[in-house]
This record gives sequence, C-alpha cells and structure tokens, in this order.
Amino acid sequence: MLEIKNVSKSYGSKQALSDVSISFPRGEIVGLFGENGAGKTTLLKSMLKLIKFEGSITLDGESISEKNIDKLSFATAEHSFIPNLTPSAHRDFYKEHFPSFSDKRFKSLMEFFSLPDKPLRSFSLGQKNQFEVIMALSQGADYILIDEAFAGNDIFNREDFYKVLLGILGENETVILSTHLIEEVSDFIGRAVLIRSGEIIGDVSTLELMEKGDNLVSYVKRAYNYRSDRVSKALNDLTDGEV
Amino acid sequence: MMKKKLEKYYPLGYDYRPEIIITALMCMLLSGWAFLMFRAGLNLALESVTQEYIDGVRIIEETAFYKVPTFVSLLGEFQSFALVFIFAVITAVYRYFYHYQHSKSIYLMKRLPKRSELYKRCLSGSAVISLICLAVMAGLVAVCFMEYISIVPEEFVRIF
Repeated sequence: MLEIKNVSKSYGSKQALSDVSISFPRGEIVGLFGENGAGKTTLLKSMLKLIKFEGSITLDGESISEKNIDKLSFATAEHSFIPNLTPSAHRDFYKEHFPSFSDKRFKSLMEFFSLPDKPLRSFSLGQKNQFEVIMALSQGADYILIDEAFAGNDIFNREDFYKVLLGILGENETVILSTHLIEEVSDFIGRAVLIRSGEIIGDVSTLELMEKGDNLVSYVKRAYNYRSDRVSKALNDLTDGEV
Repeated sequence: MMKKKLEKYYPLGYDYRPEIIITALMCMLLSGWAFLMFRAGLNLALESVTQEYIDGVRIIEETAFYKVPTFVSLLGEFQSFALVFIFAVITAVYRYFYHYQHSKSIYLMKRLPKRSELYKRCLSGSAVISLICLAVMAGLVAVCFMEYISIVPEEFVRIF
C-alpha cells in the first residue's frame, strides 16, 4: 500500500499541494485527473522523492528510500531516458540497478511497438513516449507512475497502449496514470482521483459510478463545477445574441 | 574493455574524450610554460650574480649566496595549474547538468536504489583530472629540481 499523508508542497508563494492524503492499494489502475498546474506532477514527483515536501509518503509502512525506491517506476512526458543511449543499453543499465527488471516484458513491448535499437535521440516523439513507458513497465515496479507520457501520440497509438497495459499488468501492479484524456481512459481505469489547486476534490471507483448509472465525464464535470451554459453565454456575448 | 570500465565513471552516453584531450593539452601547455618560466627565472638570477665565464664555466660572486633564488621561489608559475583544477570543477557541474539535456534523465538517476551512482558519475571524472594534474605537477617538480641542482653550484643550493 502506498500511503500519502498530509503532504503539502509549495513553490515560492504558490501552493502546489495542500495537505493531500490518499492511499493506493496494489492492483489498481488509477486515473489522476486535473487541469494544468493542478498538482498532478508534483504529487507524482513527491511519491518518488524527486522533490522535497512536507508530510509523509510510505510504501508498505516504510518511507520511500534506497531500500524500496525500486518498487516505484516513472514515465514522464518530459522523458527520463538518456538520449545518447540505445534501448539495449538502457536495458543493461536497468538490469544492473533494478533487480526485478523484466527482460521478457521489455523484449515483448519493444517488438510490439517496433522500436529500433538506435540512440533514443533519433526517435520520433511518439517513439520516445513509447520507450519511456516501456522502461517504466519493465522495471519490475509495483507502482508504475505515468505522467502524461502519451501526450503527443496519436489516438491509435494510445489505444494500443491502454490495451497492452490491461493485458500485461500483474495482479499486484498498480498504475497511476496522470492525464487530461478522461474520456479516453474511462474504460480502462478502475478508480479516478481528481485534483484541483493542490487538493484532492474527488476519489471514486468507476464500478461505483457504473452502479449508480453515472459516468466518469459527468462525475468530473460535477466535481469541477463545470458550467455547461458557459459556451452559449460566451457565444451570446461575442455575437450580441445573434447565435 | 578499458572504454567499458571508463564509461562506468561518467554519465550514461556521455562523451568523455574531449575532457581527456583538453586535460592532456592543458597539462602539456602548462608544464611547458611552467618549466620555461622556471628555467628563465633561474638563468636571470644566475646571470645577475655571474662574475665571469672561464672556458665556458660560470664563476659566481662569493657573496651571492642569498642572491641565488631558492628552488621553491622559482616554482611561482606552477600556480597556473589552478586552471586545470578550475576545469575539473566546471566539468563536474557540466556533467550534472548533462542530465537535463534533451530529456530529464536526472529523474532516472535520482530514483536509482544506489543513490551514490549519480554523484559517482558526475565527480569521478573531475577526481581523475585533479589526480592527473597533481601527478604532472609532481613529475615537473622532480624535473625542475634535477635541473636546479645540476645548474646551481652545490654551495648555493637552497630549497626553501
């Protein structure tokens, strides 16, 4: 269980996370939703201890340290691979540092996405994103944190990825998927966490929503107090009521 | 084999060859400069106390003991080797920020179970540059000392 308790983080005067408490059991696919600057990336980076924060984050009761950091992997749209290295050189480095690295998964995913064994700097943006996710999935982590890693890929690519993800994940693996693409992932995730201005404003299982006859998009809109009349109002204002 | 071993002490995918070439060039140029200045200083000092030459042999004033410079006072130009140490510091900073170039590989390095890996890969090269520089300086001091005792008459030799 990954537990986040009373985590706060500020960048100067801007409060990025405000007293966030949430837990993630193993074996879930979680969608982490929020607008730009809501605090999604800050929350993920806090989990990985890439940034300093107030509060506590523990994995199975122990704070994140050298002992258990290999249980967390990270794929980011900023890319964390080494551009001058080839995929096979990355594999060798990961194998050296992450004892649970899955060579089998790495090979299968490399084949699936048909990625060449050339330095990453020569890859297209889509290929770079795919590789970023391949490494996160192959590391052998229990918690796979994915931060908008498929931004810039086309819809077919993304759909392929979601299907592969569902097909390969073990029962103890948890994916925390930070994305804007709510509609697109709504069929793949089991839980949705909504974050706004550094605070968790919603946490719901998609099964629960389904049982209530609700859907994720409506739930998110309600949580964000989305005003459906704002488009017609804006158009009215702009066209002096001609529309 | 050697290349593989060296790669473990530099950032992943980092081309360390320019650093080694620059270090070698700096050491060679600074050694040449320091030796030249040492030799020039010694010659000037000896000329100023030379009475005459008899059959090519330098005759020095008997009272010139304190006018012949000490060995250490002739090593002033060795301070230019500070440039190599400054270079070592600059490369260490550069190697760290290399992890921000074209990607944020710093995220990978910072979440490795072996936390020292990042610092090992950023600092080892600088340690090697500093050690090479110290070794070159030590070798040059030895060469200069041999030169000093071979030129300065025994009774005028002073180290400090």
